[in-house]
Amino acid sequence: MQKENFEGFEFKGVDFSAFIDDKESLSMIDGGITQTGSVSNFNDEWNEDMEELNELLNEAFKELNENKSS
Amino acid sequence: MKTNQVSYDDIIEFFKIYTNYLDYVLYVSLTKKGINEKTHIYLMKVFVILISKENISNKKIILNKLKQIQNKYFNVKYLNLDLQDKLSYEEIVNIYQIQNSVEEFFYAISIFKKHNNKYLKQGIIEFHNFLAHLLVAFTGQNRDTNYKKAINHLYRGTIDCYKSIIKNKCDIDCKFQEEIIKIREQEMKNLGVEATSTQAKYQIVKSYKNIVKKIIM
Repeated sequence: MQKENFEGFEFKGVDFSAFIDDKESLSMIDGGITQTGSVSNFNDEWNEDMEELNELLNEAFKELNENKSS
Repeated sequence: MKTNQVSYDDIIEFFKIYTNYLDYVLYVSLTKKGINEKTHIYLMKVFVILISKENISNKKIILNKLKQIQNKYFNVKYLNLDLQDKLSYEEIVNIYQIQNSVEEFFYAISIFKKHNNKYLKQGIIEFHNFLAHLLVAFTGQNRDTNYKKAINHLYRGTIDCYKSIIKNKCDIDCKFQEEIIKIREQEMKNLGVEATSTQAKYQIVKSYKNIVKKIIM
């Protein structure tokens, strides 16, 4: 099977700036209607690497929004 | 020049990492160590960056960073999962089956996040259930059932985001009362109906979305 390029999804109307996070916003709140599962409490041993990943993701979401609006 | 676009191989790489994460989480979540809820959010965000059609300069760097994190923290094999080797290009090209559901989910969760400055836990949980079914579908194992279940989890995550917004903004006698009751009636009519089509479900999504748009925009 010949490999084709992955075109990617468009995400029309999504404001990706919503996913730019600092420490405070990178958290969850309850409030769903159909509560069926659980996520354990945060434990912070991975902080440093995860913060680096968060920085990279923040840059990516900024760029993604700029590209979508241009 | 689109030199930073992601290939199907990169998506396979993401799901190989996710297989390891799933293996780790399935065991560790049942111990006192627990799991890091932020990792759930990060994986969702990496996924959407990877599959976006937009050219983003650090897509590959993000994937490499995730790979480093995998090697450092969750490159384990607690469970005897025979999934990684079965991930194949022939299966992953079917990813377009879930395009509409994925786009609707990210629209809903971005609206929720924008208005609450936090993620909805149930939405994140549904997204991870979605990824688990998608992973197995990508191995070809019970493909059709797993696609259906993957889409169902996204559907639930999507309407949970909208319902939470409505719940927090609407009093019992709010001006959307009639519309809310109509959607609830529709949901009840579909309850337990195995064959409820994706189209019918997304009609409900559309109705909730319309109310939320009126509430917050």
